[in-house]
Amino acid sequence: MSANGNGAVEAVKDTIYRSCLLLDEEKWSDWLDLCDDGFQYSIKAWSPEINYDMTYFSADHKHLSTMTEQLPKHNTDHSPLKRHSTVYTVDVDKDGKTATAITSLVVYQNMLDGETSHLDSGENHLFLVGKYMDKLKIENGQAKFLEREVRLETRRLDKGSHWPI
Amino acid sequence: MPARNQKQWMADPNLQRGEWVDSRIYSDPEIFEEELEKIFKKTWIPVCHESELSEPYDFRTTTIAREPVIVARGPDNTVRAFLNVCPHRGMMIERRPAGSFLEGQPSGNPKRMTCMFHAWQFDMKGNCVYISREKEGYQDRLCKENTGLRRLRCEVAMGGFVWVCLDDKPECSLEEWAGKPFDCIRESIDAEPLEVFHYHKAIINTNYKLWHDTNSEFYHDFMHYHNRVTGFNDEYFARKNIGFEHGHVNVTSFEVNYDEYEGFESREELSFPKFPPNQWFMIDLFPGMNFNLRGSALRCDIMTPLGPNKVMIEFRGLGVKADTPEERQTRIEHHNSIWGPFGRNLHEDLIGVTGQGATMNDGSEPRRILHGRHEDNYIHDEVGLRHYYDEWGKWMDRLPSDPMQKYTAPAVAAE
Amino acid sequence: MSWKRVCSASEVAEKSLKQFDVEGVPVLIANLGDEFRAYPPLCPHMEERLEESGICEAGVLTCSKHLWQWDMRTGEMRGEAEKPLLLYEVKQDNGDVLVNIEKELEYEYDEETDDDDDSFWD
Repeated sequence: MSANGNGAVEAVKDTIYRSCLLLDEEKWSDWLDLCDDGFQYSIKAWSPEINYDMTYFSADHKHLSTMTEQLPKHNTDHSPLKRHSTVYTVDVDKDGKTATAITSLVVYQNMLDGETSHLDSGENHLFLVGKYMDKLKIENGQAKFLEREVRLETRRLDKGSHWPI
Repeated sequence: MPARNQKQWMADPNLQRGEWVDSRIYSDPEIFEEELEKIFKKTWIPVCHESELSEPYDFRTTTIAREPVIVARGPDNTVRAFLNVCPHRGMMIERRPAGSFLEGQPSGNPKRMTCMFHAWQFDMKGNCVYISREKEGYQDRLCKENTGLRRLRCEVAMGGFVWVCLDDKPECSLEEWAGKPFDCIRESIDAEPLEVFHYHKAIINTNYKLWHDTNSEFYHDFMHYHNRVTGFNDEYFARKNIGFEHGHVNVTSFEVNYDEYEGFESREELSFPKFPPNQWFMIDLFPGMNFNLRGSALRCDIMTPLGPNKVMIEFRGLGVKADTPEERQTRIEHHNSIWGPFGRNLHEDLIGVTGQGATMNDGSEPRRILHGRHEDNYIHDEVGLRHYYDEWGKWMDRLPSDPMQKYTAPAVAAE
Repeated sequence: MSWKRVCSASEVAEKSLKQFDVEGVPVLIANLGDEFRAYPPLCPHMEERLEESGICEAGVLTCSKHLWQWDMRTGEMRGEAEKPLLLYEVKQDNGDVLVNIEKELEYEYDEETDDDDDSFWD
């Protein structure tokens, strides 16, 4: 692979891993800065129960921005989400300007409120299992998200979440 | 009103019987077991939608009051329900949540239900069609004609939902049970085949009735930022609760004003057949199901009680089978922005009821849960709750405000 | 006589079964090593697809679900089988396998039972 190619893969991985740190820290606006203005985001899952490829959530950059800005006005479970991810594959297009990546994703809840915080706080629960299916553009050695599909296996979602995954 | 000492806290509130319930109805293990026996094994339960088993030989498995149930569509296109239990030695016949019997299972043949254990087979009408080495083992004493499945009452109705009753002789037919509360949306949901586009589950630590209570009152709109800020107008308060026989409740239509919530376009452009856009109807069915039709989607919550403080809720969103891809996409986005697991309202509602569950455990000091709001049956009236518990009291022969006593009619008419 | 080409002999490995569609008629071809045979594709017991569930050994076809067996050359019942296997006439010509299909051979399976009447719930 050319030097350009190597650089592109590293740039993509860097952006993906940074997004995980920023999302863990609930720094929504910094996360959205890693996304192109035309960013499209969705959370999907295949349901064998209803034999349907479901979209649990979808939004564009503007919608995500509004939604995350208004989060403090919403009642929410405060237990932080913590991601563990590994970038499995990065495929850079021939022109070196775009790339797709598949990243394994596991999301835990680090309980804070839980149901009775006296008992629950400090415990970890597995919340979601899936993959990030990302499409990124690469400019000046930096990668930005064009599209992210959070492809979940999980359909038992208990309280769900107000936060972008 | 200042804080109260224990004696003051425990004293009867200045409300009449019927306007509060005792928290033990949500936490007592004996009451929970009785509810399964006396209510869930006797009433009509919508277990799924017919679009989840759309082809002949398709099936869907579920449970009612701990009993495993399978619904299967025959080659004659009829949906039938059976106990999902092999008559031989009690193995669960089909373990998958959904699928087709068209292809044979490893121990059996195409178009049959096969119990994997000893390869006994059954057809889509519940007949036993094969016992392995039948004559060798049973001689003339027992044959497959004697070992059919237990068939259950099953009807497809009310917009294509599949209703099952574990009691061979239910108190009334499905139409008598649920027909009237569905009148408000019947024409619309029966006009064309519907399809489920959303399904997810929650298993949460709370009593199933607490979730049903939340679906039965709108006072909790205070919990939802956008509902509170944009919704409390004249049109909002013009909605009413209407009670029906058997404990069911309707909440009547209103025009949802989504424009004022930044970032969401109006849902006006899409609706259901014969249903004007921007209308909305809610049906709360006894003992624990909610149907909710708005222009963009038909929602359905079905509760499976798992313990006094544990319930599974299955959340479904439905559209019209003939939706264009664009129409379907619009429905999905509108549905999920509010009712999806990562949307606005559902998360908050679930926090509410699990917070209730956290304070009402077996052995918690019994508390009064107030259902006393009266506003001429309008939207923040709690008459829907009073109506439900009066019905509950009759089924259980227990007084909701003191469940260790036998049922007597409330002082306040529950409408 | 209505001889139709089904496949070339090399398409069906020795001691194996393969199903083909011959102008809308499904036919199961068996390669016995020295000869070919042709049958309807399903087991006469309960409609099992023999291409998937059939095992050929020493000239005997066994359906692995309930272990019915037949002599592959004649279709005669062996062991557990309660119905014989039907055969189509087969010949080979120039490396091809041909089958004589006058009409589709089918087994009679148990009739669909009547629907329950209203008294079922009494």
